[in-house]
Amino acid sequence: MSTEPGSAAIPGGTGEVVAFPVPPRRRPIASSGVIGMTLFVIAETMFFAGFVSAFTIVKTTALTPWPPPNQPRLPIESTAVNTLALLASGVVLFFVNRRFVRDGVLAVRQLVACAVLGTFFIVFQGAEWVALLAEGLTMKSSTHGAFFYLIVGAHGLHALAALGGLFWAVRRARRGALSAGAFSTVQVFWYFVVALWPVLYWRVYL
Amino acid sequence: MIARRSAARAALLAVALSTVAGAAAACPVCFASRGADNRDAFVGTTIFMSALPLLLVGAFVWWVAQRIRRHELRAPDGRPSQVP
Repeated sequence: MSTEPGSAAIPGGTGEVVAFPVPPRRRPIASSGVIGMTLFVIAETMFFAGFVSAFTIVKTTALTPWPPPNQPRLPIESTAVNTLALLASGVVLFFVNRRFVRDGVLAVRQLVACAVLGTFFIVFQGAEWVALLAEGLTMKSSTHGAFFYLIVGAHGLHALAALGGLFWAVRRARRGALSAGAFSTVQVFWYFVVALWPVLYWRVYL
Repeated sequence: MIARRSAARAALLAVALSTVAGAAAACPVCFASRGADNRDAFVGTTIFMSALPLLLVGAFVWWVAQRIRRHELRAPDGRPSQVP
């Protein structure tokens, strides 16, 4: 192991400066942000797995057909379109990153497009919630409603936070101050939001 | 003598209490007999919740190992780089 010499005065000594070997600084295998975000994503995956498992059990335990006959139906078709918008944002982000890694160019416009698609997803989902609330599906109207708002709402909060990260990245990129590590961290969170949604759509809506 | 009497009283009390105890019905999975779907859901979610953390941690360890390997291959002077 190669070392570079360093030097320091011994505390309480005679003031003599002593040279000692300093180990070279280790290069990280990934940025701290990426590792931290990955661990967070692992924890959040278990959080949603708990929700989905509980929902699956309650759904099969129900004595009435599921969803309950007196409750409004979930908008499967329009949410499928919304799902496509979210998936498209993930694809756009993938290509932005590929160009960034290959050419060192951060395509800010495409990054903005990704954030706009994410915004569309959240706004669309908000409109969907307003309509469902008006039709009578609330947290207290049934177990179906409680699980729907809990699971989809938890994902929505994550999407909102990840979208905040995307817009932060856009702002930093415009100033030319977005580091590769910070961009990767934002990506990990956004990919988590994008990858999780089809699973939730399949389990909750279909 | 006193200890023996106390023990006898305690045993008598235990026998008396056992006659008034009802059957406990607090099993969290007693409703599992509701149907095949419900039983399958219990089995499926048990497997899912047991395997998922192992998969996640395994994937993370694999990813770190891959990064380390790639990192070592890229060491500029041929020496393996100092990787934690």
